[in-house]
Parts: sequence; structure tokens; C-alpha cells
Amino acid sequence: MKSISSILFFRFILIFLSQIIVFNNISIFGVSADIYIIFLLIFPQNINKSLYYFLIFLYGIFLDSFSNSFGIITFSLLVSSYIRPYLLNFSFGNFDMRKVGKVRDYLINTTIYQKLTYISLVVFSHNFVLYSVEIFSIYKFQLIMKNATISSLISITLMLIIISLFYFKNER
Amino acid sequence: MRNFINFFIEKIDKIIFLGLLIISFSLVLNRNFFQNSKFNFFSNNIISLIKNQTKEIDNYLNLRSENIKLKRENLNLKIQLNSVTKNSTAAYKSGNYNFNTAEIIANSIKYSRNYIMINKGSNDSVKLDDGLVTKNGIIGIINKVSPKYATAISILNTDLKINAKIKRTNHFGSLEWNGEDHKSMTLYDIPKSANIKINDSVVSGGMSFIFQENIPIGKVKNIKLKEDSNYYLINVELFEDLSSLNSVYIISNYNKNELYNLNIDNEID
Repeated sequence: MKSISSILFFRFILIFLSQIIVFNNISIFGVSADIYIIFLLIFPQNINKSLYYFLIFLYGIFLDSFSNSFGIITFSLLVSSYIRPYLLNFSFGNFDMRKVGKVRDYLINTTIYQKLTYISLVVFSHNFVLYSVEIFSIYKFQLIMKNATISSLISITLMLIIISLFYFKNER
Repeated sequence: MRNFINFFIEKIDKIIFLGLLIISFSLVLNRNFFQNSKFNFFSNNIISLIKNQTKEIDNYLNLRSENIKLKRENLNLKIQLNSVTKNSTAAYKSGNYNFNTAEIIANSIKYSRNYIMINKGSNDSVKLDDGLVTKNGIIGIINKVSPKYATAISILNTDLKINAKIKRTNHFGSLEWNGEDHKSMTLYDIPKSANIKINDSVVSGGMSFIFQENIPIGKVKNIKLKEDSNYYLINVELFEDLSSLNSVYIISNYNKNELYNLNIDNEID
């Protein structure tokens, strides 16, 4: 019996622990490698909206308190969770959101370009909001863009590897 | 009224979203005072406990490199001891300061306001505004203390300014981080008349109540002069690599309270 809540709980713990124990301590080009956005990327579609926002909020608060950055990650995760349905629409074409519940269906049955568009849009928007809120100064726009781009590139590469690892194994 | 309730039920997800967004943004705005609030217990006890456990595993894996570092430091100390006993007239000026060691359990370099967490607290007589140093330079200043742990503002924090001077010429200025590279900082307010060369070493100035004089910080990497200004913009390369820190020393000044009181008296006059 695999209920959706047990899957979510398992993902929550696994991704959260691997982020705070392993990936928070790795830094590439002075930017730490973030993989915690996977939780948002593969979050199920057909779940109650209020519960969805609340879980994302909880996840962000946990991450924030473990990386000494109170509120920043929560805020930007909430923003990207709000715009995620639109990004899904944009990258995978129009579909009825209530019929196809699993994000996994899109991630397997689509081309690499569609996956790449979806992942990079979500990750870049997330990082852009994160660094804008963190630096909080319009005079440092260049720095915001630079940080967001570098850290997005690293996270996208890592997350593509991890997602394809898990989902291709199931496909075989 | 019925319409209003219907509207409320229809839009409940958006309302919850907005509420959570406002909560998280208020956390961002208050995050410097955040640990004073009710989350204090959560953040400082439970989180530190878990972080301490992971750090212990990490420490065990780093034993070999840590040993090599310690040997080098010992060697340096022995050399210094020799020179002190030979010419005893050169008094070592550290009478006002107390030293203590601590391990770093959390550190970040990726944000523009970075913080460090250490495993010593008020039980080990760590106080507010104590300084954190390693043998290669200044690391930060304590800003929150709990019984077992303390957090410090890292020098990689755009809000922090440190009094520093050029060792050779004794010109002093203020050292700030611009939020970009974790290996370099910027020294402001050095006048144009100072004769500064590349690779001059930058040390802490004596104008601070927190750090003693002549703690090494870094060396001059390049010098810029704006056309309409009388002051240099000096890029300083740090000796210490803040992305790989393990153990630090805590400096506390015995006479800090006296100095602060003196300063406050002056301001009132």
C-alpha cells in the first residue's frame, strides 16, 4: 500500500536530510549546491491546494532553520509554488490538471527539452526571488543576476542527474 | 454575509497562500531579532543538537588534516617562544585579553549576510561582542549567546565594518565585504597620500574594543583611485579561507565594559 501521504513524507525526509547533511556542505564556485527544489518539482498535482501551500511552507521553515537564513527560502519556495502550475502549462503544453495527477507522467513521457525548460524555469525563478530578497537592494542587481545564474546552473545539472536516475530506473 | 462566507470558502487556498507569504516575509525582515522569539528553544537546542552530531562525524573524518595543521601551529608557537625568551624586553601585549577555543558547527558563505554558529556558550563565559579569530585572521563577532551555543556575524556579512590598517604605513580605514567573492574584501578610507604597494599586509587596527592590534587579515591585491575622490579603494585578499573552517579562538576583552562606559560618557557630554 503506497498512499500519497506516505510517499510525500518519505520524500520530505529524504530530500531534506540529503540537503542539510550532504549538499549544504558542498560548495562549487563559491555557491552551495541546492537540490531541495526537487521536492517542489515532483510535488503531486491533484492534492488539495491549501495543504500544498502549507506543506511547502513547513518544508521551507525546516530548511531555513538549518541553513541560518530565516525566512528567505520559505518566501521564495512559496512564490515558486504559486507560479509552478503556469510553468507546467507553459513547458508541457495545455492539459487538464485534474485528470493527470502525477508529475511523474510528464517527466517520463516527454522530451528532454521539455523537462529542461520546466526544471530551469522553476529553479531560476526560485533562485532569482531568493537572492533578491536576500540581498534586498536594487543597486546590486548585477550581483543578484550573477548569483542566481551560477547557482541555478549548478542546481539544474545536479537535479537533472538525480531525477533521471530515479525515474529511468522505474521505466526499465 | 452568506456571499462573504461563500467567497471565503471558494478562495481559501489563495487566502492561506497570502497568509503564509506574509508570515515568511515578516520572518525575513525580523531575522536578526528572530532568535529572541519563541522559536529560540527550537532553533538553539534541537537544531544545534542535530548539527553537533553530524559535525562529530565530520570531525572524525578530518582528523588527519587537522593533525597536520596542529603540528604546524605547534611549530610556529615553539619558534615564537624561542624568540620571546631570547629578548625578554619585547613584552607580549595580551594582558587584557582572554582566549578560549571553540568548534564551528554551522557556517555559510553563499548569502550576503552570513552567520557562524559555535559550540561554546555562556556556560564557557562567552559574552556578547567577543571576537572570533583563527591564526590566519579575523572571522567574526559574537551576536547571540545561549547556554551551550553562540552565533556570530561572519566577516562575510555586508552589514559589518571592521577597523583595519596597513601594517607598513599605519594608515587605518574600514574593511567591508561587498557580497561577491568569499576570498576578498574591500578597504575604504585610506587617504591618497598614503604610499601603498601591492602585497602590503593588512592587519586589525587598535581602535576596536573587540580585537587587539596587529591580528593579520590579508594582503593588498589591487589598488583603485576614483577620479573625484581623495581615498583609495583597496581590494584585500584574505589569508583565511572561510569556506573551510573547523576550530576558532574566542577573544574576549576584560576591560570591554569599562571602555564602553567611557565611550557612553563621552557621547553624553
